[in-house]
Amino acid sequence: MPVATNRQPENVSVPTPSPSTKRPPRPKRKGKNFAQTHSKPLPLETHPLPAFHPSNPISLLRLAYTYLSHLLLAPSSHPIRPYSGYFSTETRSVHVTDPEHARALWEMGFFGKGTLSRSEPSWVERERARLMKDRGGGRKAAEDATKVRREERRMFKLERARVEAERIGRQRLVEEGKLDANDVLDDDEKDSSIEAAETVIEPTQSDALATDHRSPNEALNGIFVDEKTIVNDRTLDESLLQNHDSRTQLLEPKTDATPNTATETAPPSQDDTDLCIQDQEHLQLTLEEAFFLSYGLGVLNIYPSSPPETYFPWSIPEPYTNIELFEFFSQYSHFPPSPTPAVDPDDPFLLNYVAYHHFRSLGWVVRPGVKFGIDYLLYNRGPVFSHAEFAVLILPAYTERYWNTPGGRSRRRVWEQKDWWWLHCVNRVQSQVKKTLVVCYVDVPSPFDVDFDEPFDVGSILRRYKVREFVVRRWLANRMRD
Amino acid sequence: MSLKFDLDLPRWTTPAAMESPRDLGFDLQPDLPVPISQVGGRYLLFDIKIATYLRREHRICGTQTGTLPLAPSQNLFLGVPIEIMPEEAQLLVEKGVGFIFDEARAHDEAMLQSSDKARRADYLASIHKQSKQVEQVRIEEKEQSRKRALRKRAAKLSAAGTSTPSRQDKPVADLLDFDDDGAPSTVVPTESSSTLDETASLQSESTTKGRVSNPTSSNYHVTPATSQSLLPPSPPQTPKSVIRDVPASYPMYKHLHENGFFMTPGLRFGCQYTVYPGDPLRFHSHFLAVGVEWDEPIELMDVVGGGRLGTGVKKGFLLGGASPAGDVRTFSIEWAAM
Repeated sequence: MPVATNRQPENVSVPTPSPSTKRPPRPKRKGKNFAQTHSKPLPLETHPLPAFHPSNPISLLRLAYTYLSHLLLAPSSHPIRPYSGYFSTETRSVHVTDPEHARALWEMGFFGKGTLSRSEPSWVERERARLMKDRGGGRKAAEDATKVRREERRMFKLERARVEAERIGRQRLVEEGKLDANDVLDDDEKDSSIEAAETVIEPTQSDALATDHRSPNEALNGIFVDEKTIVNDRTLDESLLQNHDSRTQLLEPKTDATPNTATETAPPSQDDTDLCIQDQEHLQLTLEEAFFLSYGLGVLNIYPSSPPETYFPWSIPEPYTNIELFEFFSQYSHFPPSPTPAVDPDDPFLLNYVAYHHFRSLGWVVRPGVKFGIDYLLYNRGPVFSHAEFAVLILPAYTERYWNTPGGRSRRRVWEQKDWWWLHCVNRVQSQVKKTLVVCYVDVPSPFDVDFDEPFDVGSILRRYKVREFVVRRWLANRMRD
Repeated sequence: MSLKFDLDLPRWTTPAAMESPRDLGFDLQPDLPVPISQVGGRYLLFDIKIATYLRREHRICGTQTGTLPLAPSQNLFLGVPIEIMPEEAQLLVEKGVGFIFDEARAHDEAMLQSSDKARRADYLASIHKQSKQVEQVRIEEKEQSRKRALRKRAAKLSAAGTSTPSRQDKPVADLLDFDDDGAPSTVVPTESSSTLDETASLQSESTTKGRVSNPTSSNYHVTPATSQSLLPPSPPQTPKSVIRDVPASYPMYKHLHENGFFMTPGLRFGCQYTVYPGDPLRFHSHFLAVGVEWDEPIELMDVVGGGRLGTGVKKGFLLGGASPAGDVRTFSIEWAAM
């Protein structure tokens, strides 16, 4: 009788895994799951209707139930308590000091920048890692990768300069006739091979030396550290091992973000409970980001940094209204801030905000691009996933007839033409970092006939703007034939 | 065989001119001020010897804009005319090294409007003489090749043992006559016996007189490559303000030039000038220079972008301008941690 077995037929030989040939299990990736952390593109909650499967009649019931409940009691897409931030006039930005709000704003949409970090607010983790470096297995943030890379590059440059100086010295001797030319050739070949390798430098030693000099006892910005966390005796071998481990975890560092850097969530150890680090950094939002969150999405309340004079100790501070924000931000986009709340149509804040709102509503993640000398960087999903594809440059376009009248021409804020070589400069910088330059023209409407002392509709003002984008690429006929 | 030409006539139309480097003008010290042509708002140098002199002595490099006749269908290698920037032209005029003349107007004045008939006749005669000289050289060349062929043939015949006399006659001349010229080639054999062993000096009229049967029948028409012969002998004084399109970065340009730098247009790098410590053929540039006015507000984005650009190509981004007092200050910017 037939027996259901897994026996293989005899004529086919299949290698069965024996214990000796078993592949070692792949090490588990300790990195953060970015897709999970950044699953929401904006700080809003969506409640889609459940899927309807024709083969399953219960799904219809479920769909109907959900639809009716949405009709009767629509679930809110906004958080229960909106996030809060303070408008700082000195820095002309909005500060979010609550760590949970800062984390939420960063994770859902990549808004803002940590004041003491490169982009993501990671100061606490870096401090903890710095203090726990001797314990091994510290978490690595993007800033540490940058530090390692910069150190490597510095050592490489020193090495290259030394080799170059030697080569010049040899050449000089040859010219003076003191050295044989054949010896020089061999030495030159050796030098060029050294340069080509580019990885001769050992940064581990310099890292160890640097941390040796730093005394763990110094109170950095009021950080509270317990005595038992300080380790005084540490061997050089151990530190080298730690640094080697850290380097193998880091992949090739890139220009603006290190998307694959493993920002580890180390398992909470006993040492964590000993360390009590007070977070010294806050999240800083640009004016456009803050206005988008407040007006465009409605999830952020912005409070004045200093309480108003009519502030009674028992009254709750009021957040600014959108109209007030509109006026303040337009005022503070100039330096020094313009004295009147009247808003000019070509204020820098308005032009930047129109472009920001335009690209955000198309689904791009928009981040400031000062690093590359342009206004905005457009990411597909976020800086942790990929590099920015586009670099946006915002230029006002005075296309309405008013701006060509003598009165209009004198009221223009931007009246000088940009130079031809300036465009080449910007384009060349973007080509160096493999981004596409997008010149974004914002059509400026004629001045608003709105009384700024009375409430007005911000949307009606914004609706009058138009945005046009042009991709600029340099093309050479005799070099680009494909 | 040495050929003597007038100074302003192009020598490089004849292959014999490549004999000695002196003919290429490496050590030329021309009479100052040298002419700089202005054609269509651009400042061009048509004489390669003058361009070489300016590059060597005055650190004015310029860019080649003309097609090479030997390699016409490409634009990697270009030749005369050399275009110089308005700043460079202004600098040369200020130093008294050069003077600007409008090409079209100079031609008009010299040829059409000039009432000085003697000058016109002189000019046309010099062009004609040039053509004749080219023709002479060509004839000499043919003579030389004919002589060589005859010698070879005589050697072959004597080696073969036959004693047939070498016939210097028309069939040989016709065989060697590759040109389509009618009259000159038939003239050659009659004179060949007398000129075979002589070095033909073209200044001696005796050889030329016999050949030139018809002054206008020369088949070589030489177009002069420069307009120097059209200009009046004493050049007019160019006022300093004739160059209209000098940019505002001129004080910085002059300051850097006086400090011994070579400068070329920097559009490729996204700046106004690329600053070299020596000849561009020997060094890479050290700075990418942008001129700004003293009170001009500079966008921070431009500074960041320029610094990033410079550091990316291992050069310094240089901003410079003239203070109201007159002295020029320059600042260079580098990305600190890249």
